[in-house]
Amino acid sequence: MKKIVILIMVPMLFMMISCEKYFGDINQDPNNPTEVTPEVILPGIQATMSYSFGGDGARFSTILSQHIKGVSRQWAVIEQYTFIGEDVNTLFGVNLYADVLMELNNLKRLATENEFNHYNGVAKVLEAQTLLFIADFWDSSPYSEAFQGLENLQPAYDSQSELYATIFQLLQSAREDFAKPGGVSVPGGDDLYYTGDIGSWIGLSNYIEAKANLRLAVNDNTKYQEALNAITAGGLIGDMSYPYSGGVNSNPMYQFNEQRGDCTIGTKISEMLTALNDPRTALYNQPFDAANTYITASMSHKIETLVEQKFIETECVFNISGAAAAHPLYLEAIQMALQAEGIVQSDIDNYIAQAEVDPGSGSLTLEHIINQKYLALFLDHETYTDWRRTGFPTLTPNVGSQIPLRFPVSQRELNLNAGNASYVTIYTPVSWDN
Amino acid sequence: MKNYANVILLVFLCICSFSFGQESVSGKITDKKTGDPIAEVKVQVVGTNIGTLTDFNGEYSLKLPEGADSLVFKSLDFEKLTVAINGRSVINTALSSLVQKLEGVVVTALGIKRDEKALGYAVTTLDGDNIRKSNQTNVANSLSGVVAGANVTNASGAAGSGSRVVLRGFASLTGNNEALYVIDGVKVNNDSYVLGGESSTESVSNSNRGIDINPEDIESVSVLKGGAATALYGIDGANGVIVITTKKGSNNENTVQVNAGTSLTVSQVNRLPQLQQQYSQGSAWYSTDGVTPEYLGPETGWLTSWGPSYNDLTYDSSVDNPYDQNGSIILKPNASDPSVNIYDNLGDFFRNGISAKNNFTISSGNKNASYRLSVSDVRESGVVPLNTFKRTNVSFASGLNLFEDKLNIVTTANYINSGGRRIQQGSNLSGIMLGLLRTPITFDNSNGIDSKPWNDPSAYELVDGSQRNYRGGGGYDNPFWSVNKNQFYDNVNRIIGNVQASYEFSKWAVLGMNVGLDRYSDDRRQTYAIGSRAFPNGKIVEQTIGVSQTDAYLTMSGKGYINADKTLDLTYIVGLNAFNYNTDNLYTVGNGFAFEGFENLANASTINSTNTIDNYKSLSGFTSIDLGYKSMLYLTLTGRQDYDSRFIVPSKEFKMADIGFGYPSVSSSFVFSELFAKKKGRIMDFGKLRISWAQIAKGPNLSYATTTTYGTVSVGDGWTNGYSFPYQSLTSLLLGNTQGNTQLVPEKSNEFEVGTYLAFFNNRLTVDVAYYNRKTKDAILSAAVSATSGYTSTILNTGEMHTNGVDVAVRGVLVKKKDFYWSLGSTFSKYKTIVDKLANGLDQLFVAGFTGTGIYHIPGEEFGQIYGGDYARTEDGTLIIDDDPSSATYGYPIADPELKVIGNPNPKFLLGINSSVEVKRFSLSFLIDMKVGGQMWNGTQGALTFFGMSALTEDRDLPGNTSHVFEGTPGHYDADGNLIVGSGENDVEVGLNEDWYTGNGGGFGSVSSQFIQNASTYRLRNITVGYDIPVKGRHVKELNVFLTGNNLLLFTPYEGIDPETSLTGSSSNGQGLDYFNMPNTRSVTIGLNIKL
Repeated sequence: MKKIVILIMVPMLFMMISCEKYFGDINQDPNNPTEVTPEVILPGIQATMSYSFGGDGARFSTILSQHIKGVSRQWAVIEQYTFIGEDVNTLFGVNLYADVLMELNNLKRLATENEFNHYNGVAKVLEAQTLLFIADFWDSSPYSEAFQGLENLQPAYDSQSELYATIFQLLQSAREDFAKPGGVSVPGGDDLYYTGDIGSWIGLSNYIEAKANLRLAVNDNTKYQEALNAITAGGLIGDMSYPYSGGVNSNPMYQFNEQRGDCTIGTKISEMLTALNDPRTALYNQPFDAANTYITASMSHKIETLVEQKFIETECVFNISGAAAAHPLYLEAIQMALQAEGIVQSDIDNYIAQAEVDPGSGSLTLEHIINQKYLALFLDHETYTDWRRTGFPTLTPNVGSQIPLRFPVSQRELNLNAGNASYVTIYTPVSWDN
Repeated sequence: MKNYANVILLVFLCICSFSFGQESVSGKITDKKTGDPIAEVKVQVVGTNIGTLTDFNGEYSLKLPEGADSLVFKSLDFEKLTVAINGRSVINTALSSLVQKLEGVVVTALGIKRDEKALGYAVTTLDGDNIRKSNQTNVANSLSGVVAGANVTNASGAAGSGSRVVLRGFASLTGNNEALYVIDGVKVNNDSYVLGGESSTESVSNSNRGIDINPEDIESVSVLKGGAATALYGIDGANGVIVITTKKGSNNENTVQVNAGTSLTVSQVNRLPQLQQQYSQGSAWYSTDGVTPEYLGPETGWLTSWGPSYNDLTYDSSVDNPYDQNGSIILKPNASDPSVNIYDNLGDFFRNGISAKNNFTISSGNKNASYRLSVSDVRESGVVPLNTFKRTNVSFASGLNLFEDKLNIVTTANYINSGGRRIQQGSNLSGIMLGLLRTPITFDNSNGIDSKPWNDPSAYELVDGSQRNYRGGGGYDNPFWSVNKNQFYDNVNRIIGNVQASYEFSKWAVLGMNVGLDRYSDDRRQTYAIGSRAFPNGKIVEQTIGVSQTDAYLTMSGKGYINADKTLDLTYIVGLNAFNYNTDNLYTVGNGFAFEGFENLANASTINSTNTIDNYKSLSGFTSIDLGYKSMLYLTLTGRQDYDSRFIVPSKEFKMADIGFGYPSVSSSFVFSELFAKKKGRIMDFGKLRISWAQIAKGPNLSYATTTTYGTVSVGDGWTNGYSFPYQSLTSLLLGNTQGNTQLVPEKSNEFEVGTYLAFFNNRLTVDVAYYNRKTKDAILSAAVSATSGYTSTILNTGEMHTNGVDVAVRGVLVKKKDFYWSLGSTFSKYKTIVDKLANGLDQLFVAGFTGTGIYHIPGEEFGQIYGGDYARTEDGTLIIDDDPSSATYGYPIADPELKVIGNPNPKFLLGINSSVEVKRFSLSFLIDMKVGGQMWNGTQGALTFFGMSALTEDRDLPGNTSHVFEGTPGHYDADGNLIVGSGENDVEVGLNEDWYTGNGGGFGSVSSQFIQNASTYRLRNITVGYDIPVKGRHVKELNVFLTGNNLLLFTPYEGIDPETSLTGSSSNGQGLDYFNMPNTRSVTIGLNIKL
């Protein structure tokens, strides 16, 4: 019997003693790291942001501003304004929150810990820009209690005005960061928007500030001046755009046209183009498929542009100083817009010569300005916000008597953050639109 | 090595032992168990009609003809036995009782053999013959309808498709719920992998790796269902265990046994969705008046079939149309013009599948050594053109009994090669059902080619080489294109082997060890040719999944009486188990081919590669102590302590105690029939009560759940293939969207089981009933959380669920006469798993499918509900009909913006009825398998309704026709989203037309509830007729032919394919979704078995 006990005990003891060795580092994930550096995070954030703004973000907003028309499957249904919470789950949740905003927080944490001040500034500007997008389409949304993981799985919602306050604060704080030395690690080739040019980032921060003020001007005229001030303080230096290159790095709108093809150009914009004999007609008004020569696999996604900035400036001046003061800016904006699309000067001149385009300094109206902005910012989500702010261009609802005034609340939010998210119809205006 | 030398020697000895003619033979036949003589045993010279019966004393004597070499002993109550004469004139032998087999020794956990009557829990045992006769390639399918408590789902009818076995409901919320496979005492891998980069709702129908098991090699299967039965398997056995014992050479054959079998199966699709046969491709949307349906041909790229009736269309043959050899389709200029052809694209696509199975075994043995060699080959070609599956198994088992049977060594080695060519399915632009079902009746996918259009490019390509499909090159692949040009191959090379050894020091000390290895590499290659709709620039995926697991046991056991008058007996086992699981998944994707016709990584413009390693280990100690009193009262206690690496938190200091978890079980059996065992004239032969309680635990599915890590960036929006890094020379990693949990503990269940087993009328009627209740807490769930928390999901340890169920098995022998035997059996199982809690504040959890219509867990509801959009309803369920005359949906039901539970995929109960009749040399058996209740989302019908292709749209309202009044109450949503319900009945007449069906009336609107259907099935799963051919030659011992029909009859109220199907595959917990799933098949097999 003794022998038996020994026979059992010996291997048991052996195994117990070597347990720590037996297990070792085995549950340490060999596939993925747990800590990385800022230059590895930044490109992914920028790509995700562009894919979100230029993909679903552009389609949902411009289907409502009638740049595009949904003709097939789910998009034919959204065209009929059956635009539901399910549709925005990925855009709102996965892309904007879990990826862009969460990673920006992560980047800010890394930058703060290591005093990489310029990375910190870049993160804050992008965060402000993303929050502006969210506040404009969803009104209220979590921020102050967000990004805490298991610590808080149901963050409360910040109101739109709280979000706006955060946006201004982030932009201010970013400019302070840019004023400091960059630290050991600074953005460079990993910055796919501005290749680390801090001047451009400061310009962008002012520009976002102008854009935010423009919305607040709906209820407070003085904000036009603040918007103008932000631009004159040093606005955008160059376009903020994401460089796509085809293949697995293809433009999101191109991929959609190639792989789904559920949308075509909208009736409203194509009517406007035709009515004005617009030289951009041949560019915009093509079948939405892989053969489209305008929306190509390697088309850069222009997120913020000098053209748009000029239109903002025009609108501010129009509202502050009147038509005559705004008129030269208006013509300049059109000139820039057509040039940006590669239209030859003679065509530009002919175009502007039409009375419908240039009514003359005294007859310039806000409608002229916004209509031209609408034609310049093809597939840009800003056109939907412009329409909500100004009512231009005049749109007729596809069905029923109303055009939706916001994006639906994400269904996942309604389900998973039920205590805080609440259902509102898409016909309810956002706070600044009240 | 010596071991093999013995075996080889043995083979020679046996082959050389020719027998010479002799005059007669006599002997006595006894019962192996009791030693009593058996009367009326038929003794027959093999291969002749010469025979006799034993007398009352079990004795016989028989004159032998020239060349007689073996005798066969047959009796209804005993197992048939064939014995070689080998020149002997006296042959005494003992037969095993069949009755004993029903109520005898069973294989339980860790291969421990125990008297069935001692068990305090239910075990279902199946004979290898039952498995073999069901004629299934995938052994899992053989369990359907014959094991009470087992729910088997075959993912599709595609060759090589996976199959899922769930025992007694669900044990885990989001983890694996499939039963564990154990072969010869060691765990074998049953993973099922979806191709890297693809989701479970698309891709191909993958195998579960249990498909590699060769049914021909199975000696018996014990299905351990409850917690007490599986307690000794610890963390891995929590879902129940399928214990397979393989065939070995017998130690008392004294002759070489050779078996060979061959069979040929022809299969065809058993059920297809119903399509409309009237309307052409087109729409009213773009017609001049906006209401008259207009024909829109392939060149327009139009997607739906809301065009005019084909009777209003004719061919304009003056136009050369690349899409149609007959010309362009136009409205008939004159009513007398001939109508256009209509095509049955769906019916014409499928062909007869053929499969051939061949097997050969040779075995032998003597007192000291035995061996068995088996070779088997299965080749299948599916009902979808070019779909194939093949499997080759070679297995060798050898046994050695030395030192007066004190030392036993059994080794098995299996080599398996399996795989095939698989077909794109599901929600996938290359999925063949998508292309098949959506194609309008006026378009011929085969372009008039009758012979193998899948191999003829003129069917699926235009002259310029671009794809020919009904959407002018857009939309989805022409199915013939897809099967030819989108190729998926998998090739699995696998080795499974184990060495079992035991040495008996004394009856109280048997030292045992069992070391098993299961190792395979699954090599896959998926290519999408340039021009495929899913990847227009072409794509190639090369994936190698290397899986390796080792399972080692060291045990000490013993048994005997522990008191002098032998009324108390004790059996004990104590042991250690070490398990190691390792997968190494190398996935390389190449996108964008430079030129056509060369689908190779070398031709890809970008190449990305990822390597994922998953490794975990466990170390366990276990014990089981069984006490028996007078063969009447039994008590079993077990305990197991597991240490599992998946609970290690790398950021914390390692302590064994942090990863260790123990769980006990206790079970008891009371054989109350022993109390009146001696009583004469009793009708009950045997009766026992069982009762047990067990605690079981489960770990997370995979490793590394305790950390949050960074991963390579890949952005998508659900519509497109998305964007991924590296970009130029930059790479990027972002924090994963799943947050790890450093507080992870195992989920624990408590299970209580009570049951009885009764036998009446000389064991001719047996009844086995079990009731069980299982409560799980701390259930691990990969939970979707609000993305505003920064993560989209996290691992929580907060779920609670419980299962109640009943298993019943009844078997009756109706007739038991010489030359006529008839038995009837039935299994019944009913279980309900209720999800009690997910996490604080979490009131639904996505499991599988699509976010709009998917399988979700909802607290308070049954496991895995179908969740999606419904119409707004009053409290009593009446539809609310839009009463706003300015609204686009005036007069139509309005959709409720909130999603809800719209269906329950879990069957109410499962019922199997089997019967077996033997009349002389004929045998007939059948199995009726019913799954009653349970719903399925017919997403196929929903989408086809949008497309104007489902049979539902045959009866459509044409323009101006407003024939329909929806039953319901008028109402609408106000601007604040409040539902305003009016009064009275809706009386607005509306049309069930294109606008309606392409909106909420179809599958792409926001209402899915209208496509929830009853998925009950009543099927004749198997029917087999066999005939033992009388053999006269001296070399052939037995010759048997059989004809088997599988799935020949199916009754179901479901309006689509056979609802025994799974979109998301066999390993997914989300069952109950049909979205262009591959149809199932029925088959007929003819086969021949020969025994030499």
